[in-house]
Amino acid sequence: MRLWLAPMLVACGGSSPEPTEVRPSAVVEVSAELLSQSWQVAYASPDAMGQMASQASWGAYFKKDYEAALGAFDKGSRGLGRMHAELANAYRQAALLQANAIEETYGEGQLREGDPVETDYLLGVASWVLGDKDSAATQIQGVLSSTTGVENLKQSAQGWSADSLSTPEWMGMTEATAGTLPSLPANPHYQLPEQGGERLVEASDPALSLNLARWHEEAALQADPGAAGWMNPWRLPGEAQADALVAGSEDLFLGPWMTAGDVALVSALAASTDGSVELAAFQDSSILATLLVSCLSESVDPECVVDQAAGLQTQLMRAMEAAAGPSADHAMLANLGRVGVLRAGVRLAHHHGDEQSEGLLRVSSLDASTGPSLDPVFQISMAAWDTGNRNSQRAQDLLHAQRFSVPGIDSIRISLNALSLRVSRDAGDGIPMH
Amino acid sequence: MGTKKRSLLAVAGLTAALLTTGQSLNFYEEALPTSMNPLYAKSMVDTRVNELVFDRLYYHSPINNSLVSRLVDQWQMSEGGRAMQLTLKSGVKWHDGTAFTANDVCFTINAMLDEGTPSPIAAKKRAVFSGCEVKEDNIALVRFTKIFHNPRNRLGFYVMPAHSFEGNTAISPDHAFSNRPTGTGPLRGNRGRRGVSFNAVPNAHHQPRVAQMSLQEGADPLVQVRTLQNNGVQGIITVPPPYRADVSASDELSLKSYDLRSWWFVALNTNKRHLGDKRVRQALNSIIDRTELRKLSIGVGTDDQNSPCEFISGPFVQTSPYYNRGVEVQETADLDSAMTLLKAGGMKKVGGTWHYRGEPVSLKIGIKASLDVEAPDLLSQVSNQLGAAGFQRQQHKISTDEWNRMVLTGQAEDFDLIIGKWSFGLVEDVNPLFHTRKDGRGGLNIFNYSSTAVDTLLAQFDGARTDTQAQDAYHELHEVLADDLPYLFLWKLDTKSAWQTSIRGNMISAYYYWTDYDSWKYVQ
Repeated sequence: MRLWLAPMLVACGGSSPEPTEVRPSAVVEVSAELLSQSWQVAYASPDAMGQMASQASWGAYFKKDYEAALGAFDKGSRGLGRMHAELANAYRQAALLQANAIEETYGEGQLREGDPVETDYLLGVASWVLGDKDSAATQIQGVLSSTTGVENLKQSAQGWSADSLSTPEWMGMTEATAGTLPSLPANPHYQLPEQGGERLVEASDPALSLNLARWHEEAALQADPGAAGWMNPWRLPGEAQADALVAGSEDLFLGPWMTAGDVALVSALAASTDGSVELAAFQDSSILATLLVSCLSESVDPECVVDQAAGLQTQLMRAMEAAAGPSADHAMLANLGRVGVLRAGVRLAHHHGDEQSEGLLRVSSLDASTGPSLDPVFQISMAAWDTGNRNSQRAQDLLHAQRFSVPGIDSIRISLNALSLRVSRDAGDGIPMH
Repeated sequence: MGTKKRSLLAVAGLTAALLTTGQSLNFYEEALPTSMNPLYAKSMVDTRVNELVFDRLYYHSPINNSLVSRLVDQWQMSEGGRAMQLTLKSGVKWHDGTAFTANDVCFTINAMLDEGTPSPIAAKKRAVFSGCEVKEDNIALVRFTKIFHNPRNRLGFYVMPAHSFEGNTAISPDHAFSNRPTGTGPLRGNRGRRGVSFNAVPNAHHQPRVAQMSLQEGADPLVQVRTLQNNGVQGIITVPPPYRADVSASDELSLKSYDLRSWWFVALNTNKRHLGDKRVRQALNSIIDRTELRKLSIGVGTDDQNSPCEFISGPFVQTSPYYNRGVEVQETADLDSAMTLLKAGGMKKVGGTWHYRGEPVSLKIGIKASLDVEAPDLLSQVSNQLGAAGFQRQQHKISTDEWNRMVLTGQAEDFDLIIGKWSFGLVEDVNPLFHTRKDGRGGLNIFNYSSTAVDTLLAQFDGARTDTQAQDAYHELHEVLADDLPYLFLWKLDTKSAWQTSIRGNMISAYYYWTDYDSWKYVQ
């Protein structure tokens, strides 16, 4: 455990500030019993770990090679359900990113000279993704009533209603089949005529991402009817939550949530933003709840969360060593626990409407992620959050980094590029620096 | 380990022992700043130091990207959207105790508008501002040249003190202010011969919690990392990829992302007779084996997905909306094509060495010295590849001073190739790099490259009314430059910093780095 810090010495006089006493938070000790429920301790022995690592399925998942993982898991296995669920989560977050990008590019007060009339359609789809289905219907209908000559856009527009997702024939979506990837459908990629100009504006809408999310959700449920719980933390605004996930150690392997109670906590935090979730109710089964309860008073203390995350890493290492002796893998496994605390902290801050702490913890979580904790779903969700804040630069980097893990993600950058151009041109001038 | 390396590490240990006695926060920078006057910032080091010493009128929060100000209390548009009235916060003082007023805001704008201020940064602002009027001590009226969307975004400049220049708006780069600036930022900076010392200055709008900082020039990256591990310094701004695993493995250190759009290049001197022919430049592009270079100098293998170092085929990073994905990257060498192109370009191989007009071709290759730390041996490896292909070479490391004096001003004409790196923030304006040097344009055109086709595209970008026009112009520029090759475009290399975990609250902002310095603190 860290020592309390003595007051800082300040070596200069005159205009220097008064010394500031800065102390780290006391690390909460997690009970041995709760730690023993973590998947890290369950796989702490070289034999147990070796058995998992030797499987092509988990080996591929370790590298976040979903395509290989889908082919390697047994049909009807819970692992396969989880892989499809994670891809569904990734595409949902991609759709959210696109919706945010469209809102920030063409939404209220952002229209520019020459913007195509069809941007109303894009805004309609964005509203649909963001859960405002009534506005969506009005905006999309408006485009159908207009004289737009963009044929594939008109076909797309006809497919939306409050309950249905547009899947125009030209997109070529196939039936979901567990253990496979869909042949990559055509991206809704429109060339919209500039008003008063001769150029065509590149645009896309989130329909492909939503369809891919739906496809993988169906495949996940084919493989494992209980897999819907994996998707609870990543639902879009207005979507209903499924039953809670019932998970054992193997189900949670290499993920940021250590126990089934952790998944339940995160799902509950994701379901609302009214601060109603009582962490104490999860403490018996959730390592995350046990740690985070010390960091919540009127708001979330992000530094406390960072301290608890680091403290848990040490505790997990100790528990793994006590259970199975020393192993070189322990640090990497424990890091997943550390990242889990940080991401749960993000959820907790969001649940309490604490945007500042949420942002700080998001960045801390990104910095702490390495190897298997570089999770495509979290990174795309971070990109979606950044996009909603008009921070297109980091969003582009995060999205680009997922192109080897999440098939078809490249096509999503069209929406983000539009925002990036707008933000960059608004910023005005700048010169290259060496 | 060689004797030189051992002695370097011994020095690192000694440095650690000496530096841990104080409570100041010490860190390694890529180099020393060349100027601490924000109007004359040329390097990222200069930019980062500016962020500590000065305040920008408006800035983006590094956490949620909201546009905020520490200096402005209220703003209001006027004159039909061509002006903005700013009411300043009260109680803000310059480091010397003088009150910050609207006069300082207007002084800064007028200094940028003054043609007697030979600053490239100021020159860009002349297209944005038309003037500034002091309405009251705390109220300034800023006038724009036209109506802008989201005009507060245009107010991201550093405010400078009128009294330090006695109101004279023609500001020289040689003014003493460049070494001992007075700002309103969280720290007062003082540049010495071997570093910059900073002292915190409490203010109405800044409450820094780390009282002192010391910037030191980083040299050998291994020494930097060892010194950090020994707590001789608490941070390193740029950790080269081969050393990142070492940092990650330590519980006491954390690796932190620094969002910066940086790309590396080899500039070719198109005014040299033997490099004037495009086919010869294309041959050099085919001789350079980027995959091998990346492996040897950055430590990235061929099968590393999502490597920190990603090849590029033009003057933008791959994540940029201006990057033209239709232009392929040349990842490996194609020596057969190179030979054909060299012959077509008038070269002849005699006794294993390429000759041009009867003379052996000797290529003088330079690299900015600080880059040799970030990508060790890149200069030697480029040179080796050219040597293996049949060119004589001379290698030179270029100091920051020489870089500023000779390379940036287009006076390094005796070089054939120069290896460098450009960094960008939100705005990826490459016009100064490739425009013909004339009428104040092309101010960073290293070898005075000139192409009518390129100038036309750059003008189209400058004059673009819509985002699509701007994007189309740069997409085409990418294609033209990838063919004409005033540069061999190498890669984007991501930037990571390393800090002791005892440093908390250390949010690193994109490009500017220190925007949230007030929240940095030290715990143990």
